[in-house]
Amino acid sequence: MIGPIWLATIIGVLMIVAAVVAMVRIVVAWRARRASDFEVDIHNVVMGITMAGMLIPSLLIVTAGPSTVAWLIVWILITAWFAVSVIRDASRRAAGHRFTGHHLPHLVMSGAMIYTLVAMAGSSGTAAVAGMSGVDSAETLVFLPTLDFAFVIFMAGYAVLVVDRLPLIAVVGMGALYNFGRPTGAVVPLAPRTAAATNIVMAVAMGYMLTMFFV
Amino acid sequence: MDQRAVAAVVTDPRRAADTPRFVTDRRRWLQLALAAIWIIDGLLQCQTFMFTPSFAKNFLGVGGGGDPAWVTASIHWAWGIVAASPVLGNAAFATLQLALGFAISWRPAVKVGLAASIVWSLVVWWFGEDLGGLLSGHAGALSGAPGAVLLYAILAVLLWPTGRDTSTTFVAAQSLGLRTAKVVWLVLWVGLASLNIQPANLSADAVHSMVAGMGERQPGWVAGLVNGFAALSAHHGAGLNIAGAVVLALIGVGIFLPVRWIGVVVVAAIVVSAFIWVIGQALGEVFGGESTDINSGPLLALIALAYWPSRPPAVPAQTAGAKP
Repeated sequence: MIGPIWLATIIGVLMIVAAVVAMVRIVVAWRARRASDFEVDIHNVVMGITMAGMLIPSLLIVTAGPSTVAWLIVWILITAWFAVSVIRDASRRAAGHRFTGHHLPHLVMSGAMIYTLVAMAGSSGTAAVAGMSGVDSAETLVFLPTLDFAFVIFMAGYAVLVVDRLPLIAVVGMGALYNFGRPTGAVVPLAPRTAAATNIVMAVAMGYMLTMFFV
Repeated sequence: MDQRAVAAVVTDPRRAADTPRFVTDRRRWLQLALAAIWIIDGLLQCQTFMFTPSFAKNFLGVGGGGDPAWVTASIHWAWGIVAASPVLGNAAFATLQLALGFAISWRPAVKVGLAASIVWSLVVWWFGEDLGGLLSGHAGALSGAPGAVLLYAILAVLLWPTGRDTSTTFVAAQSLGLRTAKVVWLVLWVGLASLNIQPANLSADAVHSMVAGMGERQPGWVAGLVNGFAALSAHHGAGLNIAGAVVLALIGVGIFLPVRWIGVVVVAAIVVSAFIWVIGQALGEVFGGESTDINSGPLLALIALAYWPSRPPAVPAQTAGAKP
């Protein structure tokens, strides 16, 4: 169950917009040879598409059966990528680098995507009346409720933290989440406020989806 | 700190020492925690059930048990408005709560966010929470008294930004002053203690009847703890509520202990808040699709953290060999 259809549709459209914005950032940064956090942008493109597919069943992006499994494999790979990035960040930080990337939140978001897709894959229904494609509207999806709740708390916390640090992010990029008010030594990436806004929208939308699982 | 100042720090490290830092002090962290809770509440408000007429009937129409007629009448009036257009009404509720969270987390709007938070909390406390059940004679700390949303308002006041120096006290004293902040703490915790010993809460099954069944649809470990406590509390309602009242009262008066002991009092308050939230409120019963907030436990803990004693400023140490 993913909430009222009209609300799920609005958030789904918002996810498509966020994915398009992330895609535009990739193209512009590539063509203009500007610094950008490509792996985060790619993450946001895929996450936007996947969530839009979950929220708007008629898009037929995420349907029951093999489609869900395929998306699940994609997200396991993305999660593994960000897990490696987080380990790499930690070793860079240990080596004294101040700018060490912005991968931990995306690792958690990727984990949340796996959670939602596993919930879908584990569901037996095929209707999409009032919710996620491939899931019976009367069926509960939460299978690890404490983890689900922890994800929701994380998404809310991450969103407010990014909003709090927007003035710094505008100058030094998302690395400001870790390098508070200090020179990072990193090149300011392309359109940092747009990147921050995309991340905020993604986090709140993911929080919404996970909250709908509470039923 | 505006963007140009931030840019000056970032682009010219030599100016870093001269430019005000983008500070995230303890008060700011607590403000962000409050903002995150508003966001979670906004998300909970988006659940399907909230957009149905049943929401208005269940959450706004049931108020008034044991209340004066004028309170009941005002609650039913509000229920009537929401029930007439539940989708529009609830969409407004959810949007407002998300907006409160983002306003508090956006530094230029923090005062607006906290002020709006106080107003909205009082509105919900009256019309949505039936004044926290304080007039019903059944309210108690375990049941969420004095009403979770009232705690949002108290927290917003305690975390109001000021320039007052409180390096030797605690965050809550920044906005209210040391003495007033301590009185607020005393009233809150001793007030909770007094609610516990209302006549209705001293019956043998007062605790059991409230807790039993609360674990349904909640995570297994929560249900296990709640059900275990429910079994233990059977026929021991009076004793448990009196014991709880003693603990709450001790926490309340503990704020007047010497500074070095206040940390212990705050830790005790956090432990009690956690107990209330997990055992008495089953994590706010967020699972089940009908919960609009996470209940009072986390708010009590946040309030307690606002009283965590600050370290006194370091006294410059005498250099070796220096004359006294």
